[in-house]
Parts: sequence; C-alpha cells; structure tokens
Amino acid sequence: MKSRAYVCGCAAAILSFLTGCVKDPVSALREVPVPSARGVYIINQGNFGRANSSLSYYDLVSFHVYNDVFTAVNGKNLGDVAQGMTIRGSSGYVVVNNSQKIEIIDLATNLNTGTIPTGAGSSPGQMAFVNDTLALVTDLYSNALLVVNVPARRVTGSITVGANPAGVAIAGGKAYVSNSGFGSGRTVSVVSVVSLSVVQTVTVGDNPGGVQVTPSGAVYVVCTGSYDFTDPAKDTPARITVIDPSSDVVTDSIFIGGHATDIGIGIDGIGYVPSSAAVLRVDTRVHKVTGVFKEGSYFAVGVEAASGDVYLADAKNFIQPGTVSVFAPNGQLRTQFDAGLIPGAFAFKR
Amino acid sequence: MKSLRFCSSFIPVFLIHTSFASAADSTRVEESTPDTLARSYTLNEIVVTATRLGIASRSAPSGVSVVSREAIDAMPGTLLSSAISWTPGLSLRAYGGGASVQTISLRGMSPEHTLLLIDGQRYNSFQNGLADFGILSSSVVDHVEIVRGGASALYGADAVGGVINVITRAAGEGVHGSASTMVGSNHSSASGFRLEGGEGGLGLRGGLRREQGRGDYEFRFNDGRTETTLTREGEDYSLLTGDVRADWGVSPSLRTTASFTYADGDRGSPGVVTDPSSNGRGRLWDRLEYLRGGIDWDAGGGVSLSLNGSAHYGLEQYDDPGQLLNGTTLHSLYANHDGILTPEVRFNISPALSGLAGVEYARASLQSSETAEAARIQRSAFLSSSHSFLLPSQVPFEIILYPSIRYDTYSDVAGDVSPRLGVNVGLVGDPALRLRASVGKSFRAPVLNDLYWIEGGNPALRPERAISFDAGFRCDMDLLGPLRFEASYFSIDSRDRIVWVPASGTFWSPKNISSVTSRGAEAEAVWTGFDGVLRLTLNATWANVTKTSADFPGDPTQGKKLIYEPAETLNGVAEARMGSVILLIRHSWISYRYTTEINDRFLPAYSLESASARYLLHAFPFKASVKAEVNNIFNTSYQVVALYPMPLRELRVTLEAGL
Repeated sequence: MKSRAYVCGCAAAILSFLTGCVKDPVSALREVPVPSARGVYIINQGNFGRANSSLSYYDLVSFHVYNDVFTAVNGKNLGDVAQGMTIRGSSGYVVVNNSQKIEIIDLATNLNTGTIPTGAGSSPGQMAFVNDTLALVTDLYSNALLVVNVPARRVTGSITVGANPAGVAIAGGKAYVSNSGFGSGRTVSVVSVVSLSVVQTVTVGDNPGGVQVTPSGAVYVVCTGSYDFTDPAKDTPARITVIDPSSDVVTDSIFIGGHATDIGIGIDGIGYVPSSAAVLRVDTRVHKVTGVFKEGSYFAVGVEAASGDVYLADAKNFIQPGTVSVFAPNGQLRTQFDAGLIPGAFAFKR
Repeated sequence: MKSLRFCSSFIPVFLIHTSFASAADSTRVEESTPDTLARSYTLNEIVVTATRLGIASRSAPSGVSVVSREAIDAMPGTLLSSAISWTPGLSLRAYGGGASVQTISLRGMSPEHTLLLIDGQRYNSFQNGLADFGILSSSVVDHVEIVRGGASALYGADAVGGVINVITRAAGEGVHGSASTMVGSNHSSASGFRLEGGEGGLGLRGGLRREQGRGDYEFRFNDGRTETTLTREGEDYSLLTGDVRADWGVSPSLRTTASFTYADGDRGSPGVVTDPSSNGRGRLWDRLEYLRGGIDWDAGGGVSLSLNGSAHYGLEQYDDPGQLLNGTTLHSLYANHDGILTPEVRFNISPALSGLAGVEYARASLQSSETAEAARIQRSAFLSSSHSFLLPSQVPFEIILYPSIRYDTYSDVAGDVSPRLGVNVGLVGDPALRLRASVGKSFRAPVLNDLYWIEGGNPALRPERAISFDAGFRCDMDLLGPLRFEASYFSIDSRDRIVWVPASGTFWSPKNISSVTSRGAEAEAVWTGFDGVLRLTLNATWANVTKTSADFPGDPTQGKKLIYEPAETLNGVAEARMGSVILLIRHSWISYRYTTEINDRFLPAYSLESASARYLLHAFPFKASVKAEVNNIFNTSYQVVALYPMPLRELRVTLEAGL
C-alpha cells in the first residue's frame, strides 16, 4: 500500500511536469477605430526582424488616437519594417519592407483588402502611383524600380536604376528616383513612365534620400550627406537638390547641414526638414531656408494639407513607442501622443 | 531604415563553430570523494570545474550538472546543444532547424554572458563573445560539465551566468575503429569514421565526419486568420569536421596531450519568415582551426604543474546575393585569431587543503571590413583553493570553503578583480544532505565588435559587472532506488550592461547604460530504479529576469522582462536500459517569452517531445549499434526566436559499426 501511494505520488509529480504554472499573458484588447472622414496614419516601422510594424491612426474628427489598427481590424500582424503608406483613392498601400509585400487597406474600414507580394529577396521601400493602374516601388537591394500592376496586385517587371534606390516621386510624366548608394550615391535616375526606362541620370548631392514634389512642381531631393565613420568631421552636410522636371536640370542646391533624410511640404509651399539637431523651415517657392522651426532631432515629418499642421515623429530609443508631436504652422504645439515602435512616415486621409 | 541597416550589418556577427573530441565516465565523479579526487588529479580524469580543482559535484558550492557520454549517446540529435539543453537553468535560442545558428545561456543571462570551455580552455569569440552551438557536434564529446552561477573568479570574462565545459574524448587502450552513417528527414544525412589506438601510455585517435541536409523542413505559418503548412527554403547545410588527438603518458608523473580540430560549415541563412513568400538567400560560411595542447607534471610532494595552451583561427563569412550595396552584394568577412596560454601550479598541502595558482596570457586579433583592425592582449592571474573541516559533534559536519580570486587586465579596456567565496556543508548521514552557497563578482569585457565596429564602435566602454549569489541543497536518499534531489535559489545583479542605442546619424553605438537582475530557482530530481534499468530525471527552472534601470527619464522598459527569457522551464527525461536496448523519452515545456523590450508581444509557451531507441550489438571483436529517433513527436508548431519557424516532426536513423 505504501509503495502504491509512493508510485501514485511520483506519477502525479511527473504529470504536473507536462505543463508549468506560468500561463501566457492575456493580450490587451486593441481598440477598433470608428471610421471618419479625416485622419492621419502613422506608419510605425517596428524593429527589424521582429515583425512588429504597426499602423496608428489619429482621427482628425474625434482627435482620438488608435494604435495598432491594422491588427485590431484584421487580426494579423502588419509585417516586418513598414516603410511607408501611399493613399490612392479609397485605399491605402502600406509597403512592408522586410516582408516583401504591400498590404492594401480600405480607408473606410481599415480592412485588409489585398496584398501585393513584391517577390522573394526584394526590399520594397517607397511607392509612387503613375495612375490608378500603374505604380512604381523602389527596391533597395536590387538597384531597381518594381513595376506594379495595381488592379492585378502583382509585380509585372522592374526598371534598373542606380545603386540602392531610396525615394521616388512622379513629376512631369517622369519618376525621379534617388540612388542612395547606401551612403555613397550621388545621382537621381529619371524614368519615363511611358517607356518605363531611365531617360536621364542627374547628379545631385551626397547620399540622396527622400524625394518630394513641391506645389510649384519642382522636384526636391533631400541629400542626407555622407558619413565618415572613422572621422565624423569628414562627414558631408545635408543639402536639398532642386530639379526642374521640365528640363531635368539642377536649378538649386539648398544647404541644410547635419544629416537629413526627408522633407514634408505643405500646400502653401513651406517645407519642413528634420536635420540632426533641428527641424528647418524651407520656403520651396524661393528655395531657401527661412529659419529653425523646432529644435531637436526627429525621425519623420509630414504636413497635413488642410490645416498646414506639421507632424513630427520622435522614434526615441527604437525599443519603446515613439511620440508624435503636432505643431501649428506657427510652431505652437497642438497635441502630442504615443504611436507605435519607430514611427517613420505619415499618410494623410482627406 | 535605420534599424534595417543596423541589423543587416549584425547578421554575420554570430558565427563561430567546431566539433571536438573526448574521454571518461562521469559516474566516477559521483562515486569519488572530494579528497580522493583532489589528490589524484590527472589530465584525463573527469573533474567538475566549479573550483578549477577536481571535486565531486555533490561537494560543489553551486549548482552543477554533468552530462555523461552515455546520456549524450542516448539523446536524440547530433548537436551538443541537443545533449545539454534539458539541464536546469539553461536556455537555448535556435534560429531555425538543421544547422541554424544556436546560442545557449544560463540563469537568465544573455548568451555572451555564458562561457564555453573546451577541455578547460576559453572558446567564446573575442569578436562577439558568442559561441554558435548550431555546428558544434557532440560526436567527440566525452562529457559536459555545466556550472551555474558567476565564475569569473575562476575563468575571467563572460562567466556571468555560468560555465559550460566540454571535455573531449581521449583514446582508449587497444586499436579500435568505427564507421557510421545517418539518414533523416529533410534530406539530412551524415557519415564518418573514427580510428583510435593506445598502448604503453600513448593514445591516438582521429576522425572525420560530414553532415549535410537540405533543411527543407515543413513548418506551420499563421497569418492571424489561417494556418498553412509551408516548406522552409534556403536553409541547407554542409558541415565537415575532422579531429586528431594524441595523449602520451611520458611517465607516471608526466602526461601530455595535443589535439587539432578542423571544421568547415556552409549554411543557408534565409532569415525571418514574415510572409508565406519570405525566402532570403543569405549564406554563412565558417572555417575553424583549433589547436590545443597541455602538459601535466606531478612534481611530487602534493605539487603538480601544468601548462595548457590553445591557438584558434576562425574565418566567418556572410553573403547575401539579394542585397546590393554600392553595386556589390553584401559580403561580410571576419578573420579571428587568438592564442591562450595558461600555466598553473596545483598543491595538495594536506587532505583538507588544496588549491591552485596560475596565470593566463591571451592575444586576440580581428580583421574585418566591418571593424577597424583590432587586437587585444589579456593578462590574468588567479588563485583558488579548497579548505575542508570536520566539526566534531553528535552529528558530524563537513565544511568545505572555496575562496578564489582572479585579476584580469586588458590592453584596450579596463580590467577587473573578481573574488568569490563558496561553501559546501555536508551533513553525514542518511539521507545525505549537503548545503551549499556562493557569492562572487563576475564581469563581461566589451568584445572587439563593441569597441571597433566602424559604424559606431565605442572605445570608451567599461566591462559589465555583476554580483552573483546562490544557495541550495542536495539530498541523496534511497526510495525504491537511489534518489537525488537538489534545489538552488540564485540571483545575479548586473550593471553597466552594454546596449546598442541610436547614436549620431543613422547608426547605433554601444553604451554602458543598463542594469539587469535575474532571480530564480532551479530544482532537479533524479531517480534510478529497478537496479539501474530505469532512470527518471525531472527538473524545473523559474527565472525572473528584469531590466531594473531607466536609461532615460520615463524609460518604459524599466521593470520589464528581458526578451526571450522564459519564466518557467520544465524538463523530463525517462531512460530505460534493458540489456542491449536503450529507450529514451524526453519532454520539455517552455513558458512564454517576450519578444519586445516593452513586453507588448510574446511567443506562446510550447512543449516538445522526442524519443530515441538504440540497440547495441556486441559480437567480439565486432560491435554495432542502430539508433532510431524522432523529434517533435506531436508536430508542435513553435518558434524559439520570433519569425524563425522550427521544424515539425523529424525522424533519423543512425547505424554504427566497428571493431
């Protein structure tokens, strides 16, 4: 009897080892956004290799912030390193770099209505629409622009450009692609959206990154400046190279200083450039820096068209939720809120 | 983009590899007394490294596990990590199946806080502080000693969470040879041969082994709505390892040993799976040449001298044809050289007092396109002893004290003094109860990557420092067979942890900013019954690993759990030896692990079951064995590291025949 009890006791102890006492955490319920007419999407990159990209939504009607809306609505993660979002019609196209895909959402519901795979080994970055059917997407590591048939939801070809394309914008029937060379590039490839081929290569500043078109039609290429890791004193400063799309000639070069990667431009032509230690105000009508908009280092910038409000993202230390600060054009802080991990781009729903 | 660039650069920082060799019977350790072991130290004798002296594990001042050759042979899997991953306090991170990168850590510390020794000599890379267990074969391992808790007072840098000492096999007497072949799931196969001979104090052995696989295993992918079964691509591997070893007892008092290991690995590294179409084309290529030698001379009068040394060359390469940088594909190359020399003198002044004193000199260099040319010289001195006392009383006590201290200096970073005091109290009686405790300082030196990485290395880094404490007991009794039960409480408080944080521009730089506390407990019971036919092992580890510092005001990661550290781990192993047949069933349960520093995402708990059956045939002078094994019996879909899916069920059969 004693040994039977002992054996039973041992068996019970062994069975208790099948699963432990520590249970999985209960995931916090995510708030599902109520669709509204106007709002701002914040595209949070997340950490490389962890597939924790997310979308935040700042509702400009209720002024409520919804984080992780893609997962809340669709029940799945967005993917790994969301680079940006382009709005076209009633849909948003989120480029998810390390997941090699573009997720399509319906702006009215945030429902995932489709996926455009960009192919194994691709590294999609920025997306620009030529028309409702044709879009071009930078592919960082293949030195190419991917040609996307949007209704068919597939990549139909690629256009070889310069080294490590980082940004793309459409102007004058041409796509302007910044060839970063991963720090060593100095060119912009001009691509005909008709022939889908490079028609010209323009020399710009060091390490070209973001490309934007101003309200007056000029192409602004934000050249980050090069890095010298053995001697930072030898870094070259950021500049904005201005290209006239009618002639593809460089018409100006605006000194920024420090290192900058992008510019946000309002419909009034005022641009905002986050550089190493401050956000500079640039008047794109005269191609001049007109002053410091805000001191501090910011990771991303966007300008809301209707209000002219400036959205600045602080990625902090890259392992905690970043902060978005919203400033009036006069610099007054309107609001500030937490977004997701590494807020890196904005898309405005009008 | 910032994080993308940073992490792309770090993918190849992992890699180092090998396979090694070895000899002896770990059960002897359990049967020996501290005194006899301390007095009779020789090169080939199995020792527990807790004090750098030979002691029985029951007399150790902290938790120790010894995995014998017999246990390794019975375990499913061919990797060293498979053989030891079930021991208490150990955490395995696997970046996929096959021969994917694997790291191991102890007591909630990171892999770079766990020191791997090969025959007592440091193995961790000076470049990144890691050892890649993904290509460390168990084929030539005699036994493995796992010493939990801080041990920098004995072994210097990186021994914060503990030490894993792999003892390789020596050649036995007579001439023996064997050949083996293995086939398994996912187009895996292996073949190899071994030759060894020994006579008159001279022993030689050598072997060659090739293992390969397509790594095209099935896994389940869940996109949040539906689960589909996919096949992993691009994770093929080919490993070639060769080793030779010579042991020569020149005289009863003078023994020498020398060994050389060569390893070559070519592995696909397809990266994370975030989408059904994810399919990276990265490749890792490693080459290792590892030379080790030692002389041990018993000078008489209780004094012995030894000189051990190693020379290590490691070439690591990572290529990704899918990534074009400046017009060329991503190509990272690291060439590591290091040499270590360790003279020691051991003394047994009396049966109750023994010890050792030694110095260590190491030189390491690194050539890489990712770092500035780097070199490091390390000079160290250490002293360790054991003092035992028998207290006369009605219930006699044996008290053993283990004081030790070590001083390490480096040519490029600050050095540190690491003291430690351990105690083991034996209550003579039945059941035999022993109490143990230790407290000491440990440290981790900044590695060459931290200091010399071109894009942000920080030459002003200081060593990470930690204070370790543990206390526990061991009880040996008879309950329908021998039963050993032991448990330990531990705590490790580390500060000045090196963390890579955003620096100027778009690149990151390491800084000494973080503090981490790991507190927990381990318990293990081992029962042997039916005259040794059945052996049951159950162990559990509970750990609470928390970041205690705020790196800046309002840091939301303060007070959060460290990523990939499970709060609870359970292991159970049942092994039956019935004549020529050995059966083994293993069960592991790992609790959830956070995958983000702010603890908003996690990997769920999982359990894994595996089993093996081995049949031994002896028909003198021939002997043969066949081993069948199955891993992940119940097709558990799981990830150890986020986005690196692990294989579903795998089968493997191994045949070995020899003289």
